[in-house]
Amino acid sequence: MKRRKAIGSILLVGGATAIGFGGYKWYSLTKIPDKNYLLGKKSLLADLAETIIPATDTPGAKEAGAVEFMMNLLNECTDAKTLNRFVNGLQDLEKYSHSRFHREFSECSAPEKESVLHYFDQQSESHKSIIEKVKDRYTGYGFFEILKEYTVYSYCISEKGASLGMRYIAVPGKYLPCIPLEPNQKAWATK
Amino acid sequence: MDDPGQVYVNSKGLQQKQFDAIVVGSGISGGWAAKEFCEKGLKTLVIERGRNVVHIKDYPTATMAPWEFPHGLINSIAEKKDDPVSSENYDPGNKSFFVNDRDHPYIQDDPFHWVRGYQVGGRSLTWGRQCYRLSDLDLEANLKDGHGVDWPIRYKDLEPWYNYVEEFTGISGKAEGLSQLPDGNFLPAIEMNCIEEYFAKKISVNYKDRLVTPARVANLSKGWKGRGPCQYRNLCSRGCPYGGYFSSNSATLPAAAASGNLSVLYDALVAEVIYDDKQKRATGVRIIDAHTKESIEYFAKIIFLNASTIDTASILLRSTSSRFPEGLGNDSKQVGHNLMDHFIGTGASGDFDGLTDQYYYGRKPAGIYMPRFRNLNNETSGKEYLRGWGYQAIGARKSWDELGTEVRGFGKGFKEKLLKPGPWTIWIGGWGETLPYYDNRITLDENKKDDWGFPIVHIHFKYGDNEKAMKKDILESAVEMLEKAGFSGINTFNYNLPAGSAIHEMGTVRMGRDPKTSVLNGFNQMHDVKNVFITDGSCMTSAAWQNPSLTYMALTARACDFAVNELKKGNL
Repeated sequence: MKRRKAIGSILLVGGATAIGFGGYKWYSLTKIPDKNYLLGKKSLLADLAETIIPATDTPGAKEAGAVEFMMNLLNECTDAKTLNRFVNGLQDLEKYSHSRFHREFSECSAPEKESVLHYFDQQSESHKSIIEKVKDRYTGYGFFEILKEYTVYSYCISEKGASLGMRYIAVPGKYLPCIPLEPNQKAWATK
Repeated sequence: MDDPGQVYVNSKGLQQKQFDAIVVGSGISGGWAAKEFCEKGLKTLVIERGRNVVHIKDYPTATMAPWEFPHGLINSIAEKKDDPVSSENYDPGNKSFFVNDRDHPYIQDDPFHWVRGYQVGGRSLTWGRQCYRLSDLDLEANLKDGHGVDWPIRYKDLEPWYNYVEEFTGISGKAEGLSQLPDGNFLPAIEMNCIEEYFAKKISVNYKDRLVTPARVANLSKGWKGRGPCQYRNLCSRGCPYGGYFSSNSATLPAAAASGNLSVLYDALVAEVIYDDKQKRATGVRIIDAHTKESIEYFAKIIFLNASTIDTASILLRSTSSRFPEGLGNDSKQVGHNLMDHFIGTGASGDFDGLTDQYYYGRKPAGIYMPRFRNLNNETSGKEYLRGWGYQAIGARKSWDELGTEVRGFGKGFKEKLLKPGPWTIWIGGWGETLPYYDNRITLDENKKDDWGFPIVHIHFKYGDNEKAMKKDILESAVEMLEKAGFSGINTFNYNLPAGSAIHEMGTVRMGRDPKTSVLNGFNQMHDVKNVFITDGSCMTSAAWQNPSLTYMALTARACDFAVNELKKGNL
């Protein structure tokens, strides 16, 4: 039973409800999302995910294969409005990358990629005023937030993310309620 | 079918028509009725409307890792659309134990989530496993404040049967000596983690009238009757290959089958209970095969209805005869009325800045519990509402699912914070008692039929002022306790979940002392039809504030004992 709901989660709570919103923006968000466009952007998504969760001493999003889950989540688990937002944002990001660095995002250097994502992070929900957030309740979650949450979810349920980025034990066999944290302890991947 | 004994069969596989006892439903109470009758030597037929689920063999997702699900544990848009109610409760890990809403339509006036699990084992596969005894505070409540009718039993009637069912079930918990939440003979408790322990201490220091105890659960902290122990995977609702928690499939049905007296007929929907006006008794049931739609009758001396609160009332309402034109045993006109559910979805969470050098190992299947502390006596009364609630709570260190949205930015620094244990947090939510209102009811819509030709259930349910007032206190008390205990970043929640969301529907066939105002007597026997007994949630006279399944188990074992004695005396 899902008695506890994560606060602010897109995947677990679902998109915001659209009531009383009219005009072009409404249309552009409720039209049938361009899934073909998305299908062609798998390697771009993989690069974006890697910029959010890069390889360090543990695998990054790319090595973990996070993009496979991301594609499934976008195709099967995302409502039309959120998906349109995401597609619009992805197109904006491609344009921005071109105008700023004159190349595809995937062709950018690591610092350039970070700079592009930073721009979209700054635009995102978390940096907006309360009034802007209230307005946005009608249009759904922002591009960067969707990208980030889908990356995190996909990485953290992936085999490498769960068992190398964190600790995963299929059958703990016992419960120890209070134990000292070990140095550099990784979090449990599941709860 | 791996069933050499031919215990689990569909209608083609069952030639026998006459039994000593028929039990309709194989969930938590039906499983108990089966065990009790079979062990007492009665040839027993359990009838289940859904498919067969064989313990362990039919738990296909039980050992799957998160990455083995194509979109993790997130439901698809198609699933949400097809199953607007079920999908609020299932995920890809346990979906197979919830009905497809489109196959099983019902009508709601105000939102009511009727969450169903039609299969052998019913919802005992997916239940929350919390087990709490009722006390006389609950059993006397209707009499004292005038809502509903008086329970025909008191704690002294239930106590030996709580002992009896707990001894078989195995409940992990801690004795606390509280009058409002009587102790049982517990297996060792599933211990509190650091933050839960801290919270419990603070509560006992800050409040003389409150206490936090490890949740009392039907998860086995040690091996019990050949089952378990719990492996601390916290994947219970997928079915447990270790038998680590109590279900009909893991516990009662195997015990019943071991007697040699059990037959389980699955894929068989009970259309009606057959009443014989000459004998003044029920003679059996008519079923419809789920697939062939063939109509077949089975007969028995005793009939127990354990189909779940709303389905049991539906069976009675469609069991019409010249003697009972408004439904079997419905002289009181109470059948279908007084529907209750606990209301949930109100509470708060907070973070704790400390204990950062402590963690835990394993995933425990239960948190902590704070028993009711309002309206227990003169000192704790005076609120603007009657009765009360219990809090369930869970403490943990935040992990990626929360940190992912809380930690700003991206890149290396973000990743490092994301994958480390986050701050301690505690979540606390109320399970509140709903009063029995006559108007909260189910009726049958004769103009709309389901695939088997049964009139569709229409649920009418509204919360009253008492529930609204209590909700306010649940929220405010949660915040106050967290603040006093030194938590920060407190978030309140008040989801206004649809009724039914607790999946504790109760009360459509209530027990009572007077045949004019109730359907069942103090032994769950129909006032008007002496060989029909009902011991699922529908029998509840009030909802109380405790999770109810343990009480269904105790009432079932007690009613079986009574019924067999009556049979021996020649009274049935």
